[in-house]
Amino acid sequence: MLIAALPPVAKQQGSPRIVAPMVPMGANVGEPNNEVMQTAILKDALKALETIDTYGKVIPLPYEYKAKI
Amino acid sequence: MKLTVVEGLQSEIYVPITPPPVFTPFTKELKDCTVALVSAAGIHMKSQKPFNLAGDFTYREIPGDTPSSELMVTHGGYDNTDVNRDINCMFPIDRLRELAKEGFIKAAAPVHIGFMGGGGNVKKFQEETGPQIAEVLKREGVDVAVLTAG
Repeated sequence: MLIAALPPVAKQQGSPRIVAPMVPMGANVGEPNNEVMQTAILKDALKALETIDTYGKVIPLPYEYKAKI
Repeated sequence: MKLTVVEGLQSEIYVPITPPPVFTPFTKELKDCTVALVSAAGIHMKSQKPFNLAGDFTYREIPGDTPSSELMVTHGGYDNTDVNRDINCMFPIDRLRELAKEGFIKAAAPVHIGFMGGGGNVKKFQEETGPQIAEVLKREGVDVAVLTAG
């Protein structure tokens, strides 16, 4: 199971199972020190194992973090 | 209509080729699964050799009991600011342990893997590093790998 910040790239590279929260590269599992968001993303990524039944599926996850750069 | 004008002509522009599908059905329940983290984000222990920023196809085995404070990142391909603040935002080792404690999964794996993606020798990654990592995970009885990259 891949947690991707760039899902189109992940799909093109052949990842069989992809979840995609709305996050920037470098914070794929969510905001730093935000334990609630990180746990939710990790849990949903694992739960998606039970629902993804075919190769190359991308499941969007409803969590958003925008890095202040 | 015939589209081929010259036989065997090749583009000078490299284009990515999506590899053939690999899909292993998930047959267990999550509560019975041992889960490992595998990250291309350049994660390694502070005591381990850092990755070569010019390209590196090696990987690091990270023991499952490693405190998150003993981990760091060597990767020149993305902004490291967030992951330097909290390693869990790329390598959620503390969150994974909490899920095991909660019983959501059976266990966090006895070993996790860090490597540096984003380029380097892709052929080596495909033919050597990838299969070696898979062997480590099989050896350690891992059911599920959660990857962070891309």
